[in-house]
Amino acid sequence: MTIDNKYAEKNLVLAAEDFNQEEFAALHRFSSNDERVIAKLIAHGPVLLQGSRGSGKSALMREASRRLQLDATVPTMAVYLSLRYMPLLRSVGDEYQRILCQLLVEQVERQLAGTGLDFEAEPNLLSIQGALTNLSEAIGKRIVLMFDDAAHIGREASLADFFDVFRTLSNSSISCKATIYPGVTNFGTRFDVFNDATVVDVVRDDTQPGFTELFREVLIARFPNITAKRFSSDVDMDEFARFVGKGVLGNMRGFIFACNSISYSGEGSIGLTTIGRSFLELTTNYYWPLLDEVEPKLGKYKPVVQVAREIAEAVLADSGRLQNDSVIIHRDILARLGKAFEILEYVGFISKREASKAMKSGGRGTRYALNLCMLLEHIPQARLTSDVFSKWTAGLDEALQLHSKGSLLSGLRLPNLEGVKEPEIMNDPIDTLRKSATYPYGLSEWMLEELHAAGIHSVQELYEAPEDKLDEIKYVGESRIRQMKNVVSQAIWL
Amino acid sequence: MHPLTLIVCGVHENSTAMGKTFAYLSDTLEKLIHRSVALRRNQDPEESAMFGPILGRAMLEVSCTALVARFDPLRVLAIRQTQVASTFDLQTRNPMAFDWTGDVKGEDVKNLTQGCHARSLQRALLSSHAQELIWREAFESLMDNMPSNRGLDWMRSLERIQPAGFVSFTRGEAEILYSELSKGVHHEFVIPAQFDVVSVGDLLSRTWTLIGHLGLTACHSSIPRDFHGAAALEAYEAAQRDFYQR
Repeated sequence: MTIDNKYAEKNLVLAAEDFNQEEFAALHRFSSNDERVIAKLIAHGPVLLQGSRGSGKSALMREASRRLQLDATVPTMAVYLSLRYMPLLRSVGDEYQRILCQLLVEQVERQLAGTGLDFEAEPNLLSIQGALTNLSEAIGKRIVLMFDDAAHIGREASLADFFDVFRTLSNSSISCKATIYPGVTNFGTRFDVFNDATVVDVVRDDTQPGFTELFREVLIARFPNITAKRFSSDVDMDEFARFVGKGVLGNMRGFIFACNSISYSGEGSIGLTTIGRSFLELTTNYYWPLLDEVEPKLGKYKPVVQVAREIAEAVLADSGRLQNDSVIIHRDILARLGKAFEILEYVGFISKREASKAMKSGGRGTRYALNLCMLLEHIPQARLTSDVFSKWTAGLDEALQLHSKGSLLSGLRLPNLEGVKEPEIMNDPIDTLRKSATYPYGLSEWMLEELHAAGIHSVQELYEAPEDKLDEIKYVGESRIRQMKNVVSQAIWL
Repeated sequence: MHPLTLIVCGVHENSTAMGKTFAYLSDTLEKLIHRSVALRRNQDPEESAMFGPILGRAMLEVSCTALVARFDPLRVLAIRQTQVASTFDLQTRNPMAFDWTGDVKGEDVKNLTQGCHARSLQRALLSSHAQELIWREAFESLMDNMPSNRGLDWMRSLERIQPAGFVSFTRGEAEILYSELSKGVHHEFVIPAQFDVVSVGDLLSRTWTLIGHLGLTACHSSIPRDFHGAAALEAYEAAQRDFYQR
């Protein structure tokens, strides 16, 4: 993918939590189904928002919080807290809870600054709960605590502690909401996921009402240079929005990447050739490198990434040959290789559609929709013809079925997983963050040399380096510090 | 008739005891659904707080009674018999009355194949025995016979459940809803309760969704029924269009 500086800066901001309020409101759109999810986030009661990377969980949470801030008549106060905080990642038990409580206290204090309201709480659960309950009574509003990026695949040591906090803080005037990734299964012994929260899946499926409209509106809001172009006779704007949205499995971040690529392709009109080219670019420069990016962050699941890669290659090759846009995997295979499939779902290669379908040869399996960008690479001539376009738009073909015996996945096994360990990325040298397909906005050779000279050698050291220390480096100013902090965030956080 | 009423109560004749029971339940559910839709659309804070939980819990109870009637007619006929009897006394508790724990939730007991005695058979709608005997097969049948891309938003959440987890999922949601709605029915709060417009709207929406899930799945069970298949799926979609005005 050609990185053009004109849009690189703007589109470095891919995560909802990194936008300022004004940009966020201008660039985000929500479907009718999203509106129902936002209502659940605003309503009283515990909610876990589950979705893959870039699916829009944080955007939904920020939007719910934003609406509550804007509308003083709603009897609810929202406290939004991103848990992307390094000390949390490295602590467990009482220490984890103390740090989380401290963050919460500071956030509430920030929100109340200038209101004349006091919030005095010690960094422990009982004290915070009491103080929040008093605050709720004082302002005549219930309180919604929104914990963003709460639970990650592969970072499981503190999950039981988090869900303890989630459950304990909730009462008649306080409700907790949290975003989690698929594959988070460790809820601790005191948290019953079916009874202590409502789990809402953030899935955008082209069969849902409002799917086309949502992606069209995002296209109009964020890519005026695409909508200003002429659409060729084989695809109009709605078909484009729907097909690209479906191609990236409804993943908003994938859609933005695809449109970025088209936006700067230099082509005068938009047609199937343009879409096909951008899909192939995305496959090479975004999706496959994503596995490399994620691998060192997964702690004990790092060795599973290689198995996930082999599964993806095998399934895409077979499905591509037949042009099938979905696959049913027998449950015995999933019982054996489940974590690898969770990783593939997390990176957006596949998306679970139906948990249990009967298979032709007997038994049952799970149906996954396949990423069409990656599938295109494997169809004859890797060309998006009008036949393939029609077939994938309609989505009526039977899914490829992979059975427990004799299938291309029969020989695969997960490696033995050692005990929990810190994600390797922390100790990696900063050279890992060199500009590449994995880190398209990465550090230049010059920056790496300067950082080493300043005594910053590892990813962790760069993460912890104060901005004034970075500012002392020659030719490094606000913009380059932002670039460094963004790339290190990309490396550490899932 | 509202499509959600149809999915839950089916079509029936009115000449038999069972037919009369279904006629009454569907008539009641029909009124509750229409009032809950109007209440959610009007967004009146006082109306929502005072009547939303009552409508929600009533819809849940009536729907569960109708579904029990489909799976276990004897149970509902017994209730009816005690209520039409001359000995029925409004001022004393009817020991045969429909009961949330006994008729919906059920108790934790042994699996059927692990030495469960006939007396311990759980007839509750969302019991583990009902999962083993009715729901699992019904849910698999629904998943296997449903055309791709149908069922709108409710189906997208339903199809992510494993057949083995159907009752855990629906019972969990039913328990949460029953508990939360009950707090607005009994007026047990001595502090301002959290039944604002958005929260009540969400509770009502979740109640409709749960009833839709149970009703549609029940329409695919092996228990004989007169409203099923494509008609049930169409009603499931029509209900969503009505609730969310598409």
